[in-house]
Amino acid sequence: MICSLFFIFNELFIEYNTLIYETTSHLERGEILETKLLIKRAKKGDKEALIELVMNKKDEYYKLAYVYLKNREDSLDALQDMIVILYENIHKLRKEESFYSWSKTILVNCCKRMLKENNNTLSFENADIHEFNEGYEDKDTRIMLDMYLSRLNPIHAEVIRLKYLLDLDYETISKILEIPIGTVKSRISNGMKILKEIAGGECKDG
Amino acid sequence: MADIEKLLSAYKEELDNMEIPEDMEARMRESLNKVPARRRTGGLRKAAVIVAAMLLIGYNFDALAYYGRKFIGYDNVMRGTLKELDELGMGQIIDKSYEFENGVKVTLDGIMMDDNNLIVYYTIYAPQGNVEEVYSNLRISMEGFFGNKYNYSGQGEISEDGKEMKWIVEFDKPKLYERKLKFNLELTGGGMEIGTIEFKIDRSKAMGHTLSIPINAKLEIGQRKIEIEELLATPISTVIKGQIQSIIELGMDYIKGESFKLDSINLALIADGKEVGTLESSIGSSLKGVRFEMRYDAIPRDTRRIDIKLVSLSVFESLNETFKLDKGKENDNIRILDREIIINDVYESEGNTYLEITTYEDLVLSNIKLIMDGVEVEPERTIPGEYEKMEEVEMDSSNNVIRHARIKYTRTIEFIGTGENLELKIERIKLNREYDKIIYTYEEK
Repeated sequence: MICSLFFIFNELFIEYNTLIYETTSHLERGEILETKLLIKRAKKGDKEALIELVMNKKDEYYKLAYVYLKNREDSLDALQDMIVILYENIHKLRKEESFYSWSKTILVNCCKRMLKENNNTLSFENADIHEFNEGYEDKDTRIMLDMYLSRLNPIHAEVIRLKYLLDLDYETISKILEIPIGTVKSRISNGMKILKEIAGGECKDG
Repeated sequence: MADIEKLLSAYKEELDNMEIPEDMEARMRESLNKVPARRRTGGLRKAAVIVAAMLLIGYNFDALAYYGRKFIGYDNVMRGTLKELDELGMGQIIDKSYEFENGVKVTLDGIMMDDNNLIVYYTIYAPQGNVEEVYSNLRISMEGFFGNKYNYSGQGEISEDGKEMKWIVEFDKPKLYERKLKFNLELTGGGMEIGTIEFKIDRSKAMGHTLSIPINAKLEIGQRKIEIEELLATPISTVIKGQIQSIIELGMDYIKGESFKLDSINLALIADGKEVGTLESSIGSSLKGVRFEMRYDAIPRDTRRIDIKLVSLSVFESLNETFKLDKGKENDNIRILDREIIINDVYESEGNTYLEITTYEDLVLSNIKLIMDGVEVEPERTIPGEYEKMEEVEMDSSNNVIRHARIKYTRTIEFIGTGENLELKIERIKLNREYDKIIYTYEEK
């Protein structure tokens, strides 16, 4: 039995060594390898490596937070929450290739928690709709769209934001939100249908 | 009827053009710096082992001895079981458990201690066979007197039936005055329950160190002064401590830590000509400079000669140099420090300015600006390009040919807007320098 155990741990030990080797090898090149390396370093508790991983895709992270929270400060707060959770949990990440979807899921959860805590959902019920129909200035576009989206079921609005504003594909959305692809597709198509009805209705009334 | 798609794409465009806050990185770093450092490698899972069931049945301290031995690379001393080692004064059996309300039980099997580490062996037992889930909800900490907390890193192994997970965790060495330690357990997932296993450290059983060499080797490399202070070899691991300082950039700028930042240092520890495996390294900066601590496997007991080799150093360097650029492909290459930046092309497209450059891939332009008619513009994004493998041939002092494979990386940097007079301002770069130089040798007489 002892021999068998020897075998188990021996095998484990080899893997551990491989891991160490990879982190120190200078032969690894290229961006994917760079990312892998950073993930390994981050898993070992290297804070700077973790920051670098996120900063390498800073646009994606920031915009993801922004479509939920809609302002700079809250988005940065959510990113701060996220990085701490990532740091405390990255050692549990088994599939290293899923670092980005895993971390974005965490970011989305941070955003949702903030929304809940701050009760920060923008409400446009009192807004004067006529005001927004005058032109497609940037801000107006956003306010109008937020207004329409806020009337949707939040689970529909969420996937629409991810698909149309961040240009994420179905698979990525499914991974980040941890729901099946089929659900993503049906939520988007139902959501868009309702959204068009809402928008159409507003215009006629207006 | 409002065209929803149009609205969405207008909003998307707005988002695409949105500036990413400059302080994003600083804010994240600020949060992270508040979290105590933890070093911990993930639980490695090697299942599909038929004998895992036997591991459960036959679990005893004989097993632990192998457990420890294979992990620590400690073959010469750990011939026997942990129990035997305990009798020899090498380890300390604790065998105390805490059982959570949901039936999950954590057993602290034993510890080993030397001058570098406290090594803890513990088992998580989840009767429902979901130890994988349980362990990810279990946080451990080692608490000493006055609530001292110790950093740790470790590895775990899950049994095939998913009921048991064995961990070996290395904590920083407890402070000298610690007599009793608390092994704290916090189980979340469906409520939170906190458990504690208290145990006494028997210092008479600590292994101490086999070799402590005050090195105090100082060497100057370029603008850096590297000081290797101490090497401490124990039966479990080897630690090299030291610091790096910048010679030139002192003063406020330096204190702010902006002008010189060490990204990583790669030292190889060589025992009788054989490289010793690296475990981990940590780097911390202070007003005095950058401190580093490198950990390696244990040096074999009969080692007679130890060499420390500086393999490479990766640093951020501040420059604040400005270079004039012309539009087109006729720009001269830029030389900064001893590196070359090849300016392939400077062009305008759709109201933006693009700069295509090639460097060795170990050079990163971490802070640059394009000055367009006197206005400083930050890069909008970098569009990655080709990697090209180059082979460089060099002769060493004895006329041997040394071939280095190096990678050149071409990328394009986008700046919003255009201008007539263009200047590239390089504020900070990150570069990796390879040295491959023995910087210290110790020989037993």
